[in-house]
Amino acid sequence: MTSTRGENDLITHTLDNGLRVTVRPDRSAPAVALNIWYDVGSRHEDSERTGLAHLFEHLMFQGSANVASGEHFAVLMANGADMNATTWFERTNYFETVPTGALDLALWLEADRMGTLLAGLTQENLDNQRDVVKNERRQNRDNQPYGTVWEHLQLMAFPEASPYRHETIGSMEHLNAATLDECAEFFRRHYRASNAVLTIVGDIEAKQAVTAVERYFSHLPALPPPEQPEPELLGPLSEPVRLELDEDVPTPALFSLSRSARDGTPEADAMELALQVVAGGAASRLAIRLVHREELASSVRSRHTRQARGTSSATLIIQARTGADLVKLEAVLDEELHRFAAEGPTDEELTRALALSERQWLDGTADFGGLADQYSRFACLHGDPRLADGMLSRLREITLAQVRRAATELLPEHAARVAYHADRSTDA
Amino acid sequence: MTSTLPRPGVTAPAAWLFPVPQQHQLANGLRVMTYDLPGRELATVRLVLDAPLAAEGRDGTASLAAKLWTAGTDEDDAETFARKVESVGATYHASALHAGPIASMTVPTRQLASALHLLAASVIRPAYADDEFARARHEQLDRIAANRARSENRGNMELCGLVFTPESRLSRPVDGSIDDVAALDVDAVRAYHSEQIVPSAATLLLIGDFSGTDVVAIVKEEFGDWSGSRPEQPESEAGAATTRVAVVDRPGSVQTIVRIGAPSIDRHHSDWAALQIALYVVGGHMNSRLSTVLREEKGYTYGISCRLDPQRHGGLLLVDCSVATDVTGPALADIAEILRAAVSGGITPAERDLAADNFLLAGPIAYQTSDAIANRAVRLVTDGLTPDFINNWQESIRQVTAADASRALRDHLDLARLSLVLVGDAAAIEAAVCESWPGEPTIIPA
Repeated sequence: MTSTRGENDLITHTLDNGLRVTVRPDRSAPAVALNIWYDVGSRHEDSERTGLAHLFEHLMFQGSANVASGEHFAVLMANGADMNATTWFERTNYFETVPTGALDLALWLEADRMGTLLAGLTQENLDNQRDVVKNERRQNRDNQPYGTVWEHLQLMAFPEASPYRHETIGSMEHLNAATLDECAEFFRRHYRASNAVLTIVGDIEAKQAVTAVERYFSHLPALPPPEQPEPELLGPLSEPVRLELDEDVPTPALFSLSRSARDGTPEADAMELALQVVAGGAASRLAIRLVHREELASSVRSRHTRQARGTSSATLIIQARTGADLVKLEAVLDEELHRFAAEGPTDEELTRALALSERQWLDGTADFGGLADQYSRFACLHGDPRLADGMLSRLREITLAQVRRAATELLPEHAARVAYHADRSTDA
Repeated sequence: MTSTLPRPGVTAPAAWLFPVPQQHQLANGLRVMTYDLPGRELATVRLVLDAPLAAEGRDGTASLAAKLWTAGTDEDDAETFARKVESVGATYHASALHAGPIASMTVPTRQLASALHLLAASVIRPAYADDEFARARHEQLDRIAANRARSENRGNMELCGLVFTPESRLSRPVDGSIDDVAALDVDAVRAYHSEQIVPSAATLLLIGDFSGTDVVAIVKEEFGDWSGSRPEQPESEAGAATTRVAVVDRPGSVQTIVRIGAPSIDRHHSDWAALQIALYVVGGHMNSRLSTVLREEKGYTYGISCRLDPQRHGGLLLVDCSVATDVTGPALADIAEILRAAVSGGITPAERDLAADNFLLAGPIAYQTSDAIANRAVRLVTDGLTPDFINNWQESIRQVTAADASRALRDHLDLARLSLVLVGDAAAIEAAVCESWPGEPTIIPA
């Protein structure tokens, strides 16, 4: 079954083997972004093999039947490509932006590893990339101030059986234990055309792009999409959870994580705006109160981790000033959160929050690669890439009452909190 | 499954040039460069001051002054100012580079006039209020502490202190030290402002779709009455200190931060393109010589790079990576050997081609967004280069041969002049460091 339909320049097409294709022509620069999302991430991992999805992502650069180890990078770099791959809870994405004339080459390379990765998989490559990933973990987590905070927060906020309980980078123990057979099995189960979406944005005519994808991917086998774990929908935490840490960090800090609504719902969009009201930009409630008036914090920010198949999380991150009293800081924070939950935002605050979110969206989709990634996201996790084009209009429909309801989820009684008390005992 | 198709070739790329701006100069000396790029909803604005930090007075003054630009003007207090900026959909921040302060704003083009009004007020007539000064100084002190606590930043900081002589401002961080900043008062910031923040030292860059917008008229309206003249700027070359080895001791570190560097050339130098190609081969990409061995063969590191960090006059040649603590010695030995082999054996024509192809083809991909163009345009201004530099540079790259790049590497990478800074567990790595790298390490407490 092959179907093609198009509107507003955006074309979607499904190959017989199940590969879902989105093309959005944009002739403003002589380049194209190619972006593939596989519907596999750390939530698909065995609880004894955390980190496997991301380790596997590294192996995708180590060669396949017709591509030598490292050659994927080499031939694309020789064409000026901007390229990488990332792994997250619910997906693994592979992407490159190339000059238009190199699109066929990029498609061929992606098809070769989608179809024949096992031909390049060796114990030597696994052992090498295992060491690289362990160094990635050391560099970004274990050797950074506050570096393991997300690991703590997820353990605190998600129940034992939850696939969202561990970080994508995984544990050293599990990385050490991963075997070649497990990697091969991971590939066989998750890496197939029917479990992937492919997006092309840029300097190409839509039909020509679809023809090129057919040319390089249609020979891949038509396997059924893998069975997906059941979505996990948890409500807010029923009681607060807390961890106090004395570590060698430069200043005290407080991280407050709340479980929140699934991505793709108005409740998730309302949470995004609620976070902007309390912690987005220089005029947010917490910036004005904690940074400006009380001078207890040097910065406040937030992180909204949207999950489409599970429970999202909304985290407030407050960097305290040197010597600040965390008890006092937290009292002010909680007072503001209670006031926000009771009163909701003002019209002006909602307008400001929307402006900030619009800016972030426009910045994130300003280049072909950023836009392609959003089409892939909505195609892969929400079933329709066109939902990306409606992102801003959905945000604009959010009401004051919806934001106020989201604000209640940020209350301290539903939060998992990590408090860092700067331990200066190691000072010289 | 049918067999895989043969690997396709690549068709010739379209010609690409970095955009060239319209230039104007106001009567007060302010330079205005407008990059008119159709189809963009947002305008990106940068106000760049040519005020090298050598003339700032006490270290950290320029940084503190710039931070205060977003903290109120003669018209608005800090909170009102922040709300006004956000109400026109703009983002605004200001900071200092070694070349001087810079203000950065992005705004929907229809709000450009309102945004430029706020920008002009903040830079020309900042409030420098006592309470805001106290707050900003405290934040800067915290920022300095936070930077020192991150091993990567600490390594960079210590390396600059080794590579450049104390007379060179490049030897010390832009934000200054805890002692310097603690000693600053608001009068020093005001004095700095009246001396250095003048229109004849300023360049305003605007990038966006300005069809139907009289940008120069708006700029004249908001910046036309800015006055003041600029003192002679000290022109200083980055001085080179003697080669040294230092270990910042962080007991228990699971990794060692490696920073290797020496003073080097800037973009004005005739060997610039050749040395860039050579260093791309050595450490500029995933399959570079350094990355191939230290990451892809041995797994010592998540990533390693070798590159130039140029200033207007001189700059830094830098090799950086983080390696697992227990392989610090072997990693250093490998780096030393790879650099030695590159200098003595040169680079191959195939390596030269890959580097040149990458540089020449990356343009339209790297400069898709207004922010990317703005960041590059800012560097052209701060480095004292003309707006057609990138397009001339592309021609230079085409002409560099493998022999040219090999010679540039020999002339500009003197192994005996490389300084080394490590941040890690000194007790665990000291012996291995002595074995793998020349020179007696100085141990510095964290």
